[in-house]
Amino acid sequence: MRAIKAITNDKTGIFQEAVLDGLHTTAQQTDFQVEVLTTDNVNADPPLDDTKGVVVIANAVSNDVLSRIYKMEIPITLVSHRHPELPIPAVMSDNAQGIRTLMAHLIRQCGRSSPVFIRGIPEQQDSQERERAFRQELLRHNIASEASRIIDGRFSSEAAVVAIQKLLAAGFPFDCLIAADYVMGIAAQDTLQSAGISVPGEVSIVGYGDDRAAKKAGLTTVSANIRELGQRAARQIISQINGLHISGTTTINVELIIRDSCGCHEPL
Amino acid sequence: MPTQKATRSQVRLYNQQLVLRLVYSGEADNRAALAQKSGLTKPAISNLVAELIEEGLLEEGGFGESTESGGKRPRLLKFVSEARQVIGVSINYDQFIGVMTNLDGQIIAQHRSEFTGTEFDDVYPVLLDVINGLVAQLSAPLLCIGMGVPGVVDNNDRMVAYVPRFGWRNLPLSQILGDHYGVSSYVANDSHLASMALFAFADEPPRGGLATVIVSQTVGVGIVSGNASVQYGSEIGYLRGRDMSTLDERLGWNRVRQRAGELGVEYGSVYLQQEKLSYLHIRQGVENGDAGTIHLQNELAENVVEIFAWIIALVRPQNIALSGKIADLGDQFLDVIVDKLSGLVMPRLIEETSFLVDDSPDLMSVGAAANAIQQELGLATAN
Repeated sequence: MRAIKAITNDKTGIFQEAVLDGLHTTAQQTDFQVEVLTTDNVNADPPLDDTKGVVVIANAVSNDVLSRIYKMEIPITLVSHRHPELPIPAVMSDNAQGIRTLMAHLIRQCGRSSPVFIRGIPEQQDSQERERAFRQELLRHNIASEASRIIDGRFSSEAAVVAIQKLLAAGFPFDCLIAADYVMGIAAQDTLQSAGISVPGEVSIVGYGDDRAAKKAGLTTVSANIRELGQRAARQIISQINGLHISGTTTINVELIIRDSCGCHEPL
Repeated sequence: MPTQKATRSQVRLYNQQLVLRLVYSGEADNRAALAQKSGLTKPAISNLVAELIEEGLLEEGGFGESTESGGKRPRLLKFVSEARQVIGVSINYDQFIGVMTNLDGQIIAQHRSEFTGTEFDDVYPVLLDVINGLVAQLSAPLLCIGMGVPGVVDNNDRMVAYVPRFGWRNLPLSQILGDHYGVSSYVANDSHLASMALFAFADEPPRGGLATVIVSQTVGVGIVSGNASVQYGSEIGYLRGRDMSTLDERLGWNRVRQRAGELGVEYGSVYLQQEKLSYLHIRQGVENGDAGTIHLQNELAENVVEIFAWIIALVRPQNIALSGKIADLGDQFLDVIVDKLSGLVMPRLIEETSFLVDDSPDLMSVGAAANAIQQELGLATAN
């Protein structure tokens, strides 16, 4: 069996686990084996002896490390991020489509007009694209682009809670929250309810991505099939190993899942 | 004799397409019905169906109702839309957008890549990378490739005659791609393909014909007649107006950006003086009553309205769509155009026409895939 190395910074993270599951499933069908390499140092060169190809998940190594792997002419595929200069192919969910779908839903279907965006980690590509898409949608819907409309959640429940508490303390008026991932969306729901603010009565909340936890919390989301992201990445790296030259990005569509948190869901 | 051989294979291909079309459209779902609808003999239909089953394009299902005379219940036939996959690619601004679809035109994967430069030798490797990105995702054999270009395409020999934006002339792109991937390749004007996609995949089939005006870096028009029997499209941005400037020089994004800069200074408009100006800034400026952006929108509308007027006068489609980057200006821009139309076209003709804006970025690549399916199998992936 030929080896593909999958580099991640957290192999038990919900996102990473689903990507790895997709990678394993597709690789096994084509006589490849995925070896998972967990790293906590983005600047460390990973051991790549006897590796036919590398899949790097969500900025697990720095762009400098990527450049060095690229120079070694080992095929690389990136999942949920891109290199700013090198033509390394990537697989990502369609962040712009997802945020556009959520914003259109809040404004057209739920009748909201003053959104606040809880962003992820500003250094991460997915996070940057979702934030850029949010800014674009503010323009599309003619909503003033004040600095207070974007708060820092860093893809973490704890950071999101602190950011929302600061937002409430500052008294900035808002009637909907768009979280760059569903984990922060759930945290936002709990925080607002603890502060005595009705969700979705006073504030609608939506989040990017989906999981059982989002379903349990009744959070309206756009769902990207993360396992499919892993499967597509496996197909891409195997084709590269087999000699296909690829650049650019394979994108996965997302789907709107309407639940209670946005306020326009009619219970069955 | 070679000529006779070619003719036989053409007839076989035509008959295969006919059988596929009848099953795909639901006009016939068994061998007897196929014979009746096609006018071919039952043995000929049996052979064709056997070939198509072997190729995986048809499959046998359950049994249908027996005829009134009480004959055997016919074996039902079903079209297998997952049997093959098709790749469609188009140029959107400075990006290749590719889609992979099944034979129903349903998108299975998308791949995008940005390019710089205009020389074919610079752009072609990126095009191959995008197609390769989709080839990597194939889960069924690749049937064919469709490609949309912002230029004049000769539909008879599938030659790209002229792409003004890149200066490409007489480029056998269809043949180049076909030779590279070993499957048929079909190239068409991207406005034609956008019109085709809008026509085929609209939530409700447009009544009457549809004309699509695409304005991005360049300007093009695509037409689909009411019954989809006539379809064509072409780049029109190189046409010169009374002042000898071309439509591209008046409506292309480079010109819009330059004009926005001039008006931004003249009116002191913050909307027009954005470092990374987009049509969405112009849209917001108009909505907020900014005089500079309203001036710019009016200038743009003056140019687009002439195109609409010519289309209505010459073709009289029941629907006109505005697409491309300019579609980000939204419905309010369309309203301005329609208002201005009343000065150029008889009001009755305007009333008979529906106007819409479509800002889907993958419209042309979806159209490219639909066109390839239609050319290869004779199947219109329409509503």
